[in-house]
Amino acid sequence: MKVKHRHRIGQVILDKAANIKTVVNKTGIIETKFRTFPMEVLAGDANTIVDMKVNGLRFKFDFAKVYWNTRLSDEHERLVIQRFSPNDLIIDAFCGVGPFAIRAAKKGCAVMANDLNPESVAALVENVKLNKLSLEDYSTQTNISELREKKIKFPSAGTVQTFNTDARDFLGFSLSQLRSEKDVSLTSKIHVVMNLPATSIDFLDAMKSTLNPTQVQSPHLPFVHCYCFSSGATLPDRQLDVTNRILRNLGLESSATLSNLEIRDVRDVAPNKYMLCAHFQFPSSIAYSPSDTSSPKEASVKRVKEEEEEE
Amino acid sequence: MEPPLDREIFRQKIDCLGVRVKSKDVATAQSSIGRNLLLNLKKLRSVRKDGEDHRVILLDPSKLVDENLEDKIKSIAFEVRPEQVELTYDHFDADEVLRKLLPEEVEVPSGFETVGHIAHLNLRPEHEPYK
Repeated sequence: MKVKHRHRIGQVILDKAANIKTVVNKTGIIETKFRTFPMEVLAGDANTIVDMKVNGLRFKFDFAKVYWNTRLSDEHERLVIQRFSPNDLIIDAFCGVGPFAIRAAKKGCAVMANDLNPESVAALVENVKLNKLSLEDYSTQTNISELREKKIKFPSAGTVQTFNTDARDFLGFSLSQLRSEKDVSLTSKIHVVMNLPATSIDFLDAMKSTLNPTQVQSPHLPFVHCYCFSSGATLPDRQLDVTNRILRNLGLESSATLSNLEIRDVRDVAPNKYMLCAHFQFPSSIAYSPSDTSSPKEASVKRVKEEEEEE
Repeated sequence: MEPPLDREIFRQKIDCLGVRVKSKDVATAQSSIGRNLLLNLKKLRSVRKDGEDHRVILLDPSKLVDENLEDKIKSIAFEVRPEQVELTYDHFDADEVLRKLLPEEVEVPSGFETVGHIAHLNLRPEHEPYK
């Protein structure tokens, strides 16, 4: 088997492949929390710090400590080029070292980028600077309640705000900021990027009841771009599977329709395992906080009724 | 323990024929002989310099098994002589090297992810059939 010969395989690749100075091999399965994997250096310089240019953008990070997938470069480009416009607000809940966040900021979007892995966020912060973008670094503030108290203003176009918190907390926090923000330009769109295919769908409900209908009216509800896996044999099978899982997580009827829904294949991951992206606009029926949807008079009538029922 | 990579096993001398012509006649000679008889190895020049005014066009030995072909070339009044080519590890690409190094039953790794200066391979025992 190949693994018995891995050092020589590594040496041959080092000798023959252009621009390769280090050959590494995965030695275990991908770890679930930060999506990193143990690796051994088979040949060459034991330096895993990568510093590279991808489509004109610079990314620097330690490949042994963060998640990076070269095979997704086209998708990083595609999402930003085809779906984002300058001045759009981008909320990237699993940003990694910044492939979406930095691309979007270069395009003139306002970006809030979050990752759970502190190594990824440290690399993200450096990458924002290396790409000459404006940075507002909140990554040292990992406590979400303290972040809320800071009353952070929205980023401006071309700025990346960086966060190191749990995605569930981050989604609730970033969207509910819109409630208090008076200057949100509502001609721009709000996009939420969820790039953790193994579990993105499980986080969708974190966006429920976060918004205020006077601040964000239904045409301006966030556009969600949710990456996920499916093993349906055909694209329609996979689309149905993904739609059902999204509706289930959001607590909606299986007959419900999502507006502006598009589910497309992104790449084949393994035999019978595909990565897809589900694009849809967050439903108005579950986007708004109940205390905002009723007027103050209705709210007090409701409270009196509840008190009567208790007696 | 895995043995170290022995690059010397790729060193080999190949006997072949060469056709000696004036430098200016190389192209016409090549067409007369026919492209399919010319030595065509990657990373190896098939035309050698022989003094300022002459060149030697190397022929593929595997194509000249037929005696008649050798005579045919001689009959076009070219000067034909034995030549030797030395190949080394540098003349072979990764696929060729690995195919020779690895036991027959082991598949040559098909590709790898490139991340900057790093080649990332995924060789793990649990994904392989036994052996």
